[in-house]
Amino acid sequence: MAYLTENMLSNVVDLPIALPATDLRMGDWVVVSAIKITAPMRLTYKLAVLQLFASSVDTGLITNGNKIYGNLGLAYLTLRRNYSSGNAGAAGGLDVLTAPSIGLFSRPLNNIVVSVTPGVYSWIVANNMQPSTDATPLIPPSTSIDFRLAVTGSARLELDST
Amino acid sequence: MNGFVTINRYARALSVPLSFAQTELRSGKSIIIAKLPLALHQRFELRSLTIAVISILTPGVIPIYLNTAMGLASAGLYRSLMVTGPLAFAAFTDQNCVTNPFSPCVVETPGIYRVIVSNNTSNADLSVVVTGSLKLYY
Repeated sequence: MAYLTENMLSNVVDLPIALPATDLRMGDWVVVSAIKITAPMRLTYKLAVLQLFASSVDTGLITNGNKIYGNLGLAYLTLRRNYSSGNAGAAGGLDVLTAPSIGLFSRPLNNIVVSVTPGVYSWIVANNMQPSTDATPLIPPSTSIDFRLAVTGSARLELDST
Repeated sequence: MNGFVTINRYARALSVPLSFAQTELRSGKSIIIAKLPLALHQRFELRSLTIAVISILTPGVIPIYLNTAMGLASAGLYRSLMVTGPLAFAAFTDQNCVTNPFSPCVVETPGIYRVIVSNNTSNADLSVVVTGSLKLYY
């Protein structure tokens, strides 16, 4: 393992992935961070925390029929490359952090995403709720399931990975 | 300047976040994302500032630019509040735009510095994201 030099230090930039407490309406999503990388940069993503503060309904009443994607919890933070528009939960994401209930959820720090592929990397937080598809819904379909959530994280950008 | 970095030196280099999650920016308006006072013997470098326009919120509009060089929207580092006088800036031209990281903006002059995102049209509301970082040495 080499020593750290002044040049290396100035070539490493920690970029924020941050969203203050925000109300996210049912089925809506927000781009939290966007980073463009070109050759010879390297992006390393380790740390992200997703906190769900509050819900407009009792989360105990939420069923799988309320979820747009059954495996993505109540809300999720996803990392996508060259995202332009459309539902952020679709297949093709590089990483996802889900919030299955009210509370604080963080990525395991040993689950590292490293990318040197040029492109625009976007972190998107989404509300995974929709009107219930159950035959007898516990939450009336006219009720909007909204969440108050916050995101805190960081990604390391090495400007010269060679 | 390519010596080894000591623990003390490393502790005095900070990455200051510049974070502006997706937000509606009305036509002709600007928002201060960050404000940083710089004292004597301190130095910072701006090496990464990315702006992305997620969508144009005004339907069917043909944008009228207030300043064509600044694109639809821009994010920049300013010493004054004059939006047309940035020390470094990223102007939205395509889907996404970033400052040149290999031509860093290095600042040592004491003063108060701001990072401002602005909508450079007179008739189009935009949805904008800005992400970046300042490297502060003190």
